[in-house]
Amino acid sequence: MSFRSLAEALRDTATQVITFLRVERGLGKVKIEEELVRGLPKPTLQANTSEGEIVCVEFSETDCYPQSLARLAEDFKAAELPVKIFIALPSTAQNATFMTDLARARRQGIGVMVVEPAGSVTVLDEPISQLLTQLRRIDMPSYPPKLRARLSQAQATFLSGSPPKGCSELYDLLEEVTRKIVAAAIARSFWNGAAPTFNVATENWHNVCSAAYAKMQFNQIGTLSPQIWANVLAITRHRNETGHSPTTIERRKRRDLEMRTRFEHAADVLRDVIQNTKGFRW
Amino acid sequence: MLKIDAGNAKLRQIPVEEIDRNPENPRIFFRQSELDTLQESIRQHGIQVPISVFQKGNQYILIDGERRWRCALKLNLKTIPALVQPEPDALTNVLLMFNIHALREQWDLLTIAMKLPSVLSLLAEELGKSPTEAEISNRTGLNRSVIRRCKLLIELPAKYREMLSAELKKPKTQQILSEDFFIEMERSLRTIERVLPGFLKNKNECRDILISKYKSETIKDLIDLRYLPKIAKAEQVGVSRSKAVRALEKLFSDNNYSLEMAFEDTVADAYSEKTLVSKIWAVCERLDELTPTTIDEELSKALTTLRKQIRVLLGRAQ
Repeated sequence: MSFRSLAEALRDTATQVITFLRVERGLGKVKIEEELVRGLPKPTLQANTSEGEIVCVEFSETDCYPQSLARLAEDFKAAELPVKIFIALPSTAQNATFMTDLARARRQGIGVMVVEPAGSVTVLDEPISQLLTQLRRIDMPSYPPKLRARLSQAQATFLSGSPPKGCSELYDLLEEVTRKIVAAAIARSFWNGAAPTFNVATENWHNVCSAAYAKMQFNQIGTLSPQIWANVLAITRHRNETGHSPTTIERRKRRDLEMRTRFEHAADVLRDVIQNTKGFRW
Repeated sequence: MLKIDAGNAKLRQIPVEEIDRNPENPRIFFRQSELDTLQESIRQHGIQVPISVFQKGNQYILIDGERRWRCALKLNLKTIPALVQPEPDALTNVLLMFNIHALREQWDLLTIAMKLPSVLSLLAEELGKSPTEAEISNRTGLNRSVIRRCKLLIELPAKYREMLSAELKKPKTQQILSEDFFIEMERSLRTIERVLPGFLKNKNECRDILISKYKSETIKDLIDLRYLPKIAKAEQVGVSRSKAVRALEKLFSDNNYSLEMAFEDTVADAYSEKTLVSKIWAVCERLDELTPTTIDEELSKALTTLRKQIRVLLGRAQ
């Protein structure tokens, strides 16, 4: 298959990008102007990764965020595909709005690569899977300032293409906060019956939360309710689920959608816990 | 006249994948930004104007609408509205391309120029003789000045045609060299060859120097190239040929010596005087038409001033 839609002036650039994808990214089969989803525009280049993602590359003479690219990204988002989109430009591209466009592309998770006439490719920005870009962003002002840096880091990790690691970083934070709440409740005897014999700091997180759910005096701890705590308890079940990396597009899609839901849910639970323990020093 | 009966064309929805571009389409460059814009329009409003094709075997060949077809391919449309016309003969096919595209779109001149030789050869075959400019113009729909400009581009050495072609592939904003630059340069160099035979020993070297000076902005405007024939024809305005030759030699050897400087150093004064003389003759003709009754106060004042200045000047001259 050869180029039919792409402008003639960009075909050399596209050929250089194909070489880059093969040599630098190990993507063996790069398809040219082939259908990805019925009824949606054909990506100029596309290749499947061994991790079940699809890398697409579009080309422009001048803009790193042309309108057609914005539309394509929207289409792929709507189709819920684990697609990473690059826009590739020749290094001779000149555009007064380049930086503004670059920022727009970054916000939409579009990767940007610049191709020198001699063939070398420089990646200015790595793309984010369009499936992940739909992640509802964490509303930072809802959290205490001391937690925001780590929340931000967890979100960045998630968006950079490691959803399980991003979730794990967020769970770490939730675990720390909830262990401190339980320790404070035990120290102040807001506990029904005898104090637990386990070490709150080292005992399995699920066991700690489970014991707290049964014995902690929620009416002493701000407005924290057993319902909110039940949400924490539910999260502890998949705390250490790492699972295998998905190898097919369908598995990847399922996994990423699940991770997106988990991440958003964990962030909401953390916010609820923090907001409902106001006035209770932990 | 074109031998195709568009009245027989049938409007059909045909599969996008069964269409091929017309190898005779002289438009060889499509810019991505133009395709993107059209793509957005098609995405929003669909294809409002059918493309034109003719059937050849199992495929359809484009007559008109290559950009729409390419956008349809990109947008993954399954079918496209098309007027299916009878297959034209070779000459009609090429002429259709010219008539449909050259008159309607802003084609790059080089695009037309590159295709012109095959039109000339097919026309010559049909007419049994070399076609005249009028005949070419009549059949292609191109006016005669465009045909002449095309011929200048066709006759450029391959190296410069490729240079221009590479430039035209760039977005308009990034283009430095243009078809107009090469046309002005060729016209000027031809005048030098005619007026000062033997001066241009290595024409390509001279071309390279002019291109390099234009890129480095030593030549600021392509219109400056029009100084070249004026310098070459220095004798016609009373400036010695040797002075002109010295300036031209310096122009083709000194990187910082501009066309404007060469003009100033040679014939600028002479041309300025020539211009003044022609203006004076124009004033004289106008004055001949006046009668004392048509002279108002303002004109009378101006004429009195002019008379005084002429007396002073002629007095000095004597």
